[in-house]
Amino acid sequence: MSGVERCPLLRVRDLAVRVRGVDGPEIVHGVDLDVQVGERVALVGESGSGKSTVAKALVRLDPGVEVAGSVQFDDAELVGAPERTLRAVRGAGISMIFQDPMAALNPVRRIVDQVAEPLLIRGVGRREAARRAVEMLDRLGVPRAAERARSYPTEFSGGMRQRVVMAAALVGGPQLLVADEPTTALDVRVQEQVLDLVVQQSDELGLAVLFITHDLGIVAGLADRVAVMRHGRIVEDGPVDRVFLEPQHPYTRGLIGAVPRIDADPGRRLATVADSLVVAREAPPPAGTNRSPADRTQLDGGRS
Amino acid sequence: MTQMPAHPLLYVQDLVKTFGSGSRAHTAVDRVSFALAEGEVLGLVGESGSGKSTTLRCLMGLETPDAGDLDYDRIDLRKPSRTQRRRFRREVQLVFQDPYSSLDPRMTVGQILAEPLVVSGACPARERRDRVVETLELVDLGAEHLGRHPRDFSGGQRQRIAIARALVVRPRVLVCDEPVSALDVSVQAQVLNLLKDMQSRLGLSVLFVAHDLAVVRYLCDRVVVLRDGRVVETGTREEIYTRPREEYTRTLLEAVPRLDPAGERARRAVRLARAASQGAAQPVA
Repeated sequence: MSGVERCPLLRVRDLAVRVRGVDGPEIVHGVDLDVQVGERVALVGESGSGKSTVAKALVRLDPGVEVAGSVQFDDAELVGAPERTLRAVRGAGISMIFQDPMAALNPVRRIVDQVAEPLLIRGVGRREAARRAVEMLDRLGVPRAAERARSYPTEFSGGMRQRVVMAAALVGGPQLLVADEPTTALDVRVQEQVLDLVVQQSDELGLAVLFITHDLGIVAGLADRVAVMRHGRIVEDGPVDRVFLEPQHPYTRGLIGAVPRIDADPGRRLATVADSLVVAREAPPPAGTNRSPADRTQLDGGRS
Repeated sequence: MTQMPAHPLLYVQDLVKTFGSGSRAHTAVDRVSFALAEGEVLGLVGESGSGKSTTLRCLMGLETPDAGDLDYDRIDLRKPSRTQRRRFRREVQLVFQDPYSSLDPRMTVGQILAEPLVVSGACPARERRDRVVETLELVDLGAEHLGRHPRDFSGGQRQRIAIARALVVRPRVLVCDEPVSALDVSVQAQVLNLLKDMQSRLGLSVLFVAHDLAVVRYLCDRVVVLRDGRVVETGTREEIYTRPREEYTRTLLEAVPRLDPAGERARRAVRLARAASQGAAQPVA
């Protein structure tokens, strides 16, 4: 876990994202977020919370929105920066991987060419780029990498494709990897392997990771810090152990209580977010009321 | 396999289904057997390609199996009579994964819930509205929603409507195909709680197909673990989750992330150390 460093690698302040056009609604409001060098931060939220919108807004991937506020990466301001600057940052400074590896890969190009592409763009020679691509595939556990690099994406399983996409994301030596639900489409054992790889590479390369997900389970063992988003705002942000063991916001408590657990009594009813928010609205009880703590525990879906 | 219930309601024996032929043949289901007892919740769990969906499709008559027996309450599902087929279709109801594509967008909630009653003749015409409202209330939606369309509802509400549609004919068996895997966790919790309530209140038998082992553990009394079209093991919830007999079941359970940061970090450190000592991680799949 990285301690207190003076200057974060990524410093987001008061980020607002609005859909372009007359009366385009604002979908992300006043988001502050820091990622330190080598730190792993999880941005967690349900669908529609704005977590992916934030991820894409960092390097202005979505032309359909307007971004306001400040995004500083490695001391350079990205909001309002010319497209040329952003293009340099994408791939080199900040790399992204997404849920569906097949959508990120070109089915009729050889794996090696796709993994090497970020290097070729930056003027690395063909042979050197191919050599480094194969090296990265090997590093990410693609068996017989030199041979398999010559094949095509359709010849790879889902887990292998995600390794290929990760190799392409890491080959240029980025400082920050933004991973948007990279394991959601994968089976649980493959998911575990891909997440292990993310952690391993992050540790070995000093790579910072911003991990976007709806799945609290995978965050626990992966992140140093967790930020929880709801309705376009960050409602809670803290060290992973604190957020899981003593969540401050009722929504976070609701989310944690709603996850079916492999290690808890199955007879215990799942809490729902609504339960926790009811408690939040009603607590603390105004002076003069005498609602017992037991009532509240019950409303809270049997937490504690 | 062990532990066949004494009087199964639904009974699958040595089911085989192969797709393609010659060198391209792929046996999706390979001698799968299990039984669902009255009032029981049975989980069919497996990764993609395990054969769980094909098994379900054979059971519901959407695929023709190559071999094996399928029985429901003394009906041979491989050659049922017309009346037997009608009874099966009324008493065994399906809930699908995706509540967005399983509800007709042009129909109102009232029409969606009345349709199974009309088709099955389960309820006289003048009692239909009452039955529909009663069922809607069962899933915590009220009569005020009768005239609305699926688009007016959230994902969780749609899945409740889909469950109500399955329950409206008063089935004995509910077959659920990944009913919560497309839902957000807070909505998933509501739907799982609802399914659990309905099961115990109505004494339903449930066949629950899912890939999520924690979800299956929350809901199911007994579990069948599938892999590559075969049954790996069958057992009670207690047996499967606390003392699995098969290595495969253990690795599946091991891979489920826990909500315990310190524990998860420790588990990962062990895995990475093990992988480092064995050379590169051996990819599964």
